This record gives sequence, C-alpha cells and structure tokens, in this order.
Amino acid sequence: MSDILIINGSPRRAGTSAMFCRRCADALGGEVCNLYAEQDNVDWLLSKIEAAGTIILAGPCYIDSYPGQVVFLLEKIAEHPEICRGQKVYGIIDGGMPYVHTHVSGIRMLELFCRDSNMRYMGGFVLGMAPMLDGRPLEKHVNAKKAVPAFGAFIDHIRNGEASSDKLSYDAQYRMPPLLTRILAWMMCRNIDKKLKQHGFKYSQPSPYWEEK
Amino acid sequence: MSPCGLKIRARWPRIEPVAGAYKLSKLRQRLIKPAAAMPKLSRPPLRPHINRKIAGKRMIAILSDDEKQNIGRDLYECLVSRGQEAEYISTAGLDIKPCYSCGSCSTKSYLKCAVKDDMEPILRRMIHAETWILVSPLTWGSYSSSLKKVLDRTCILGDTHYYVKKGELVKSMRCNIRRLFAVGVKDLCSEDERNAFSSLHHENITIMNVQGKALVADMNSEAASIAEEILR
Repeated sequence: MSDILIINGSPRRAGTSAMFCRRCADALGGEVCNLYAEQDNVDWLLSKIEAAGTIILAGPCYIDSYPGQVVFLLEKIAEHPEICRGQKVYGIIDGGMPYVHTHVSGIRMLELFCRDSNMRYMGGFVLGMAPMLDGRPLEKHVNAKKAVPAFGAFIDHIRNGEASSDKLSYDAQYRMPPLLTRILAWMMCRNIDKKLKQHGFKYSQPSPYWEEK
Repeated sequence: MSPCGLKIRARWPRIEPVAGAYKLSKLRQRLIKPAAAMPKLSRPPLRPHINRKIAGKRMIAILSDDEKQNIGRDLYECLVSRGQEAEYISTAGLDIKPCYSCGSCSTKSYLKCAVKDDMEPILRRMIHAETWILVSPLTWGSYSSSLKKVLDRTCILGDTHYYVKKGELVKSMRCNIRRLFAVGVKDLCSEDERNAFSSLHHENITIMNVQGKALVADMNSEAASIAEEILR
C-alpha cells in the first residue's frame, strides 16, 4: 500500500501529530508530508494528493478545530476539483482537553469537506490530553491502556480500507472523575506559574496589547 | 499614615489625647472624607486582567472575512446606526501568518506574540471589545481559512490557566470579551453543516467561558435582523 499520503497538519515537526504520522507510516507505509514545509504555500501538496489513494490528515486542535492552515489546504483543494478522484480520507486530531467533544468539530469539518468535494470521508480519530505526549510515543499517554488499542483498531480500518466510526474515540476517551479534574486544574495552573517564574514573568501581569497605539 | 490623614491633622489641631477626644477626631475624619480617608480593602479582583477603565463600554468588534460576503460590512453599518460603538476589522488582504505553535507567548515573551505581521493592531483593538462578532463564509461547518488564522492567533488574549466549569476543564480569556457571536454566511446551507457550525461555536464559547450564539445567514439576509439577535 504505497498510495497512502500522510499529512502532518502541525507546524511542529516533532509534536504529537508528527508522532501519529510516524506511527501511521510505520504501520501502513506511505509518505509523510509537512503542511508547513513551505511558508504560505500548499500548492506543492496538490499533485501528491491527486496521486494518492488514501489520505491521512493528522493535525492539532486549535480553538476546537483544525488550524487555519489546514482549512487553507482544504480551500485550495476545493479550488482544484479535478484532483479529487474519490480518494479515501481519514482524519486524526489531537488536542489538549481530555474530551472528544471539544476536538471533534475538526473531524466534522473534514467530513463536510469530503461530502462537498469528490472525496470519501472514512472516519476520524480524536485524542485528548495530547500535549502531555509532546512527541513521545502513544504508549506514554496517561490513557495508553485504552488509546493504544483504539488507535490500533483505527490503523486496521485504514489498512482494510473500511470506514471507522467516532465511537472508537469516544470509547477510548479518558473519563476523569470530578475531583481529579479539580486537582488536575490546580496542578496545571501551578506548573504554568512556576514555568513563567523561571522565565521572569508573573502570571497576572497585564497584556501588552492593552496599550493603545 | 495616609497623606490624607496628615492633611486633616493639619487642618484640625490635635486635641490632647483624652479617651473621648480621640474617638471624636476619628469621627471628624470620617465626616470630612468618608470614602477616601478609609483604607481600601486589598481584596484581589476576580479577573485581574480586565481593564476596568473601559470595561463598562459595550464595545463591539466585528472580525469579518469579506472576500466573498458583505454581511459583515452591513452588520457594522447597522450596529453603528443604532448607536453602538463598533469596530470593523476585515481579514481579507492582510498579511496574517498562521500560528507556528512556537510557544513563545507562554514562555520567553509571555503574553506577546513573536510573529511579526498585521496581527498586532488587530489584537490591540480586539482586547478592548466586550462583544466579538466573527463573520465568515461558512466553510464546511467552520470559518474560512483567513478568519481561522486570525482566530488561532487571538489565543494570545486567552488565559493560560485552567478552570473547572460544570465538572469539565475550561479556559478563559484575558480580555474584555463577554460575548462571542459567529455568523456563517452561506446560501442553501445543509442541516448537517448548520449543526456542525453551532456545535463548533458551542465548544468555542464553553472553552472561552463566554456567552453567545451561532447564526447562519445567506447572502440576502437582512443585517438588521442579525443585529437585533446580537443586541438582544
């Protein structure tokens, strides 16, 4: 299966999205491309998309959806309808919040895009609490016990060319007890303050953008 | 020893410290300057990053990708004609780079974006606004890329801390924003796309800890009816 194109939709070359890309490439083969390889230009990707049979789009979650640059790529594809020949599209989105519902809008956007263009949306995978990995393998995730087999099942779906349901991600979601949520929030805030202190900043200092210019 | 107290003592000659007289001078102080003479309670405000000077102004910022729609412009004119203090920011034709996730804003240059482009004046205007209105062609249940790039970059106005609301982790904003409206412009919008857009907006307002509504308009929609919905 060499007609797989894996797109890393993250500006970071060694982040969690890149880890997902590597994982897909190791399991399925195919080429990994970085969406941000060229500044403000995605045209070089279009010919690769045209040649591919299956496209896997892995990206981070920025404000509950894929980053603007991913939307830019999709708009560019829509401008060239001739390159869409019924390719299968799978999406992977990884975000900070532990909940699937926070990040699933990105997958919905991909589904609606495929419906509009001549591409086949086949399914998506959502991973919460992704920044804790920071490029480390999925096995290091706090929810690895559920996430690793779920992602394995997702890879199997791609290998077999079959559709994958959102249920996979919802079943693998880390169910955090309310008390733990509060403790986690407190701990994360404390870590943020500590990190800022190391850089010589105070958390509550005002934004420089308040000043009128 | 407030400067105020000194002034009062200068005006009112000090009475010999008799038990009753001391109380009387305190009473005089209170009568002359009731509020200012009292030391202020140093209770930290709930959201210290809010600019209180202009927090009372109901300012509206319209962020619009007006390359393919003019609802945003109409809406701005409609709101201004109703006496609202509004600002119009068009994302079309600006040099806005995507967020490179460099992490500088949360470490090296805290609260300041390291990417230099047309984003800075936008941030300086949006930080003051209480209501944000995002107007964009409805692009597969989401915003268009030029508006999404700007929106991704407004993260810098967000709070780095985490909070818990309704048992779930949320974030907050470090600016005056109270309400966020999203207007998706599309003719013949499918039900699925409408649902996707409103659930995306719902997630946005949840995570930003603000109020608001998602509206879908077509090219011929009346700006007045959208304005009414927003001012309600």
